[in-house]
Amino acid sequence: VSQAQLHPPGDPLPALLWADTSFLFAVCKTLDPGHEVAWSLYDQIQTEDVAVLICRPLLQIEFYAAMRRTVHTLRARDVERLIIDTERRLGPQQTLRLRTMDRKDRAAVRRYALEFGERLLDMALETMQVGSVRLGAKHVRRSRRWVESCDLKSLDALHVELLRSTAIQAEIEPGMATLDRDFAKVPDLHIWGLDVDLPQGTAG
Amino acid sequence: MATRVTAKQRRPTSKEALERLKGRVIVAQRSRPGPLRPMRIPGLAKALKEVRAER
Repeated sequence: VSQAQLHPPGDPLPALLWADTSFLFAVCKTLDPGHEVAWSLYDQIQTEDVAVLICRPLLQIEFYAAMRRTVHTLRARDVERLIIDTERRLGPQQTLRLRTMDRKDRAAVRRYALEFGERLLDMALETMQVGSVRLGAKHVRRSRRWVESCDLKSLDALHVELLRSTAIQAEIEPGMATLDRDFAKVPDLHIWGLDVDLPQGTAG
Repeated sequence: MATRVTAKQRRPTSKEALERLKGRVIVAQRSRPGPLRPMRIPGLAKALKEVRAER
């Protein structure tokens, strides 16, 4: 059951918006089922003078997990083709130029995919105004309450704790860009990117 | 008739909001003209679909 306030597409954004990994990953990955929704939200962030809040170490560790899953679902040859194709299409920008890869070496394929993901993430973040929140031991301790009260996964709970404490300090309502339905269980959170007609019981 | 918006009601700019988080966040200004270029490249989505279809 949704406890958070879900905002429909196009609803004005707050000055600061927390970017969850699912949102940024869907922006970067064209084949993601949520790519269109994420892209339109990304466009809105660009046009409405919104600064995106992230926690870099948290984002990075979740991106590693997502890229690892990508390697598992695509074969080595496919990953190589995907990267070569993207590099070729980038032309003079060449930001994604990576070293060559022995595709029979699975560790090399993973290294390649992780590096690819990191570069894409960097490129996405460079196009936005970003505030990276420092992660402290107290946030980890306090995140426990979200696991307890909302049954969130531990890293999701950390996102919520960092967002809540930052929002209090900035005197704004806690707003998040996410495609992860689990966050709809958190009371008083303002969410962009989730279906506003989320049926009862589907959150989480 | 227009409603007067007080300072408290007005949505702060992102710069103002970030200013309140001074010392708490590391701010990085936009260093690349957006939006992200690679994802707008025509044909990329099709190429990715072909890769999947070959599996």
